[in-house]
Amino acid sequence: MLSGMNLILNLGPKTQTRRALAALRGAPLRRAIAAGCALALVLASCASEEPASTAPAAGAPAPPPAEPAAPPPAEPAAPPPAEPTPAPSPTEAPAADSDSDQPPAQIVATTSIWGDITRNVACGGLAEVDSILPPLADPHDFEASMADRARLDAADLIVENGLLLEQGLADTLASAEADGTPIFSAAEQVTTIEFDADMFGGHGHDEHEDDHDDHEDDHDDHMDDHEDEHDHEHEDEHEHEDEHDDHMDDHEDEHDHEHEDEHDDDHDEHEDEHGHEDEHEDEHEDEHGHEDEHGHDHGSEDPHVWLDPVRVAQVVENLGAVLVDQHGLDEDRVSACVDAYLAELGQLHEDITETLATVPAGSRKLVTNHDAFAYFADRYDFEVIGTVIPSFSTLAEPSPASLEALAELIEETGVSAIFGEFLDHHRDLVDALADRLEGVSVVNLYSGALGPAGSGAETYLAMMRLNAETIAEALSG
Amino acid sequence: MEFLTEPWAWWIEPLVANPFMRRALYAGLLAVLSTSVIGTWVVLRGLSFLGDALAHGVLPGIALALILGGNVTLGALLAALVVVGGIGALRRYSPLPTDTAIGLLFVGMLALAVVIMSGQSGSYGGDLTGLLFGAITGVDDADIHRQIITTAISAGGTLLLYRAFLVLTFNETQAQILGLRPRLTHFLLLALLAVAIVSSFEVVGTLLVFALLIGPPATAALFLRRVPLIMAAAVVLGSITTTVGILVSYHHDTAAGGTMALSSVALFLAVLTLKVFGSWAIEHLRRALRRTDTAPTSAAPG
Repeated sequence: MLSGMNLILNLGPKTQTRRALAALRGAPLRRAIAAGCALALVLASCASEEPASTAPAAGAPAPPPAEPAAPPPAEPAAPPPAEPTPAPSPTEAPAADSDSDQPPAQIVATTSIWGDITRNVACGGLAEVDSILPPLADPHDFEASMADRARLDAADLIVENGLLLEQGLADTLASAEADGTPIFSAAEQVTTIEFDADMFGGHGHDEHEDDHDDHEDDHDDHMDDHEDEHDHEHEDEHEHEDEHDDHMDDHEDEHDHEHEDEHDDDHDEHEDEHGHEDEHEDEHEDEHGHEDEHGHDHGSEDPHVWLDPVRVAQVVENLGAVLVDQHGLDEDRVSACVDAYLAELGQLHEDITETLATVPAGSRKLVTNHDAFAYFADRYDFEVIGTVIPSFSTLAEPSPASLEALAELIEETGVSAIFGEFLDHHRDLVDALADRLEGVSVVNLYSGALGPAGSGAETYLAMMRLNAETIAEALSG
Repeated sequence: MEFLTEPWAWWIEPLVANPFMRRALYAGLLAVLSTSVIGTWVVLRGLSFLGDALAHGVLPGIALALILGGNVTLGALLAALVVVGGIGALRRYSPLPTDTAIGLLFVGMLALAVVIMSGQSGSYGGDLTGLLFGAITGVDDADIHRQIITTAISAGGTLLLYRAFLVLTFNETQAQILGLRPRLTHFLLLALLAVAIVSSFEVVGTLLVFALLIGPPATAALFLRRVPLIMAAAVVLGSITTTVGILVSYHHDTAAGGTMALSSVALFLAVLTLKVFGSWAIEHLRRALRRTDTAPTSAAPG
């Protein structure tokens, strides 16, 4: 038995020629073409008829998949006043599935963090929540399996962060949505921050927020060097020490005076009462539409919204409402969960503020691995002065020049710590940077994923507390 | 072992029950059809390295298309043509062996893609990962329709030019004599190869498209000698490995693109092992037989 490969490679010139000439008659050729075309046609017909053919397999109790294009007006009689049509999820007649005592809803979250938050919104077995990305997995960079795809298909609802955080999953999520699983996009529930390309020269972020008129107008935005052209509504005051009021704590005013450093964020006052009408919700959606000139969507908005507990509280409320309105979960039970979790988030916000109060005003500067902490910085009056990876995404790569510039910036500003992440990406870059600088330590924070069991960051609340403690410890010393 | 004990539940049911599995399967099979047919020539002509260069050389085109908001397929195709033209030019003017030219272009294009992407620090540029590994979990009908067209071009073109490629493969001088213009034929082969790669990279990614391009034809060439048979067997083997890859990813929660590519390479290694072991066993058996043959004959006179 001769090796076919060897045979081909060693064919004598005569045999080759003979074979070549023999093939010139080319009889098998036409047959092969015909077969190829036929196959292509069969596949084409299969592909085009197929979307209509089947419903998702794992027959879950809840809503029959609405066609994704369903226009939002199809939401009649939505009782909770605080619900301004959460953006992306296809809506449907809510009355259809409100029989009680149904089996738990199946919810799939993309990241472990949103999985944990969702589990708290649908607490007490209201829903079975699964997340696609394991702890410590980098959400920017993840390839799904067919089993993940099946999970998305079987779910009643997908909770994603959105704003292209889940880059590796983008196509997969889109196809699951097209197949009828609605997507709740967390980042679309809150005011977002624009990414500022100049930041790596040492500037801050553009705050891209809009205040609504019924409340105080002294919106202060301490990092708005470039924002004037997008934000016309409020006057810009370039100062940190404006009077601050923190609406999250409205129900416990005695804490207010402690939060000297907190700058206010106009849109928080929904926190004071859950039933409260918040009509600003729709406004911010239109705000950044004109920003995208890169030809691909959302490229300029920072997706890391979960690092701000106040924004998470907004998401939690909206998610609760979606679960009740669109997925027929028991309203009382959901609102009990939501209230309990909102209280915990409020407590978290307070604790973080208190923990970070030990960091003196001059040291409230962050150098992080990738640009993930803008919302955190915005909330707790820090400034992200630079990042090792010059991007929102962990997938980019820094140039030596940008690393050098960052090192100089760190020396100049006297920052005492660089914050790495508990993700494997580019940790050596952070270390290299720290080696070059004397007296600068590297401390890791949790950013895109929860920690594994035993890490002390197994839940969102624990992870945020741990981050705050880490930052306080590193910068106070 | 479920795939043996419960064949229906393992092999068929996921495909029947899930539209996304069927779409993945169609996309995978189309990728096989377009790569295996042309891949046969790539393997037989020893152009694997060039195929690899081409598979990665499309990246800067894709990167530019993403940044400028153009059509990714078109960008990839243009970049592939640049690679093909560049290799031709380098081959003609550089005194060094061809693989040097290919290697240089390969690494040059890859680096260009990284540089283009890193210039995009202001926004998400990092889509390259998805392009390297593909997104068969997210195939939609538009993808499949696009693939049908590109597959028809690459597989159809390869079959139409069968005769020319055959002569080119086995005797370039003969091709010249027959008036088949070997240089043009070579260029056409590379162009069709580019189309095949572009047609498949969205499914399995540029990194893994190479596995589909080379794996099935190489496996077929291990035990077959006639070109049409190798082609047919490559399509069949590729279809099997792709299907198995998709199903393994479904049942065992492994990354889809990687599993497909891996199963294609694994089949090659398995067949090669069997073949080597088989010929070794046959050789030993034959020697053993000869010994037993000669033993009695030598015993007889004594």
